[in-house]
Amino acid sequence: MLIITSLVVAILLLSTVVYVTEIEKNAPVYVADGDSSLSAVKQTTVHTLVSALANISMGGNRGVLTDDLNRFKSALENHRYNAISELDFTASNSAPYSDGIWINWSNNGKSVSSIFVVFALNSTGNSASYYSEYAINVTSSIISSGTYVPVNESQNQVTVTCNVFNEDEPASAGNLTLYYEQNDTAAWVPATSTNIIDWGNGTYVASFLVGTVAQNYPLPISVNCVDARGVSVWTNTTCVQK
Amino acid sequence: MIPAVQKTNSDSNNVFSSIAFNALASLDNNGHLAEIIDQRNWSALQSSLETVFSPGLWFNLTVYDENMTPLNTAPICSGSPISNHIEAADYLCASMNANYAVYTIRLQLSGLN
Repeated sequence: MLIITSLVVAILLLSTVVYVTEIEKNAPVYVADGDSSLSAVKQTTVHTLVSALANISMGGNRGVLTDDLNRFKSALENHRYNAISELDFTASNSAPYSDGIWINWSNNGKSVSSIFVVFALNSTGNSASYYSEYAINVTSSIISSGTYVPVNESQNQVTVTCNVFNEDEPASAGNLTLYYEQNDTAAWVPATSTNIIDWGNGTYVASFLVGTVAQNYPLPISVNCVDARGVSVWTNTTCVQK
Repeated sequence: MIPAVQKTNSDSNNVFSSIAFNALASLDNNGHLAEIIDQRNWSALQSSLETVFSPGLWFNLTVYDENMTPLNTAPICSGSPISNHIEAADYLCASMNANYAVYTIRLQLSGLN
């Protein structure tokens, strides 16, 4: 009787071990960022968000973010023959974001164009399955400040320093355009013959000439930076006389 | 004719499909791959692949749009397969510019084991 009981207990234990082993085989694997397939999906996700931010910052409809993400989701879920994938996304509504978008173009020389979206990717392949949640923030920002000095009775030289950032790291500007507002005319005048020096570290120094301005007039300037990835940021500030 | 065996990158230990996938992911860093496709610059795409792969590897690449319609009008390949063992990788890439597009790229790779 004792032998039979022992055998039953042993069989129960063994079957439990087998059951747990099989369950573990089928459970999704939480993979690290090093997984090439997941890294590639993240990379394409970033590109999708950059495209949407470039579009919106150039005056496009804010709905393009959801539209583009749905197109990406559809392509990912329908056209990969080596895995069944499901991608869900949630555009952040945490302040300062609204529907995943934060555009803050200010008059204090510091401006931001940004998108923030949270993703959940569930992928099942023949050899592996995984589930990953990740958040992607794409942010282009600039900081501008400037001064001017009289060079003669009718001209002043304006010098504007612009620092360009992508995700808070120094970044390249694709195009910098400057405007100024002379003597409270409330009309922005494009700066001409602008000389721009690229320091190679995200810092650009632009200089141009303007006509006569009143003594100690706080010269308003407006800077438009389209960074190397095509995202536009505007900022206004005032230049003080040196 | 007996068709060549084609495996996908879902199979484990597929060296060529892994190489193909990683090469595409590398080329797509900073959006370079999608930029070339946006421009429909197939010769530049062929040159990029020739730079990445050694002459001992055969490749054949097809770019599909969102409806899985092939986009490249000319073949993007390096001659004829040098082996009956062909592996393939699918890669999804998206353009970074304001005019969004998403492409599926299928890259077949073959070489002597």
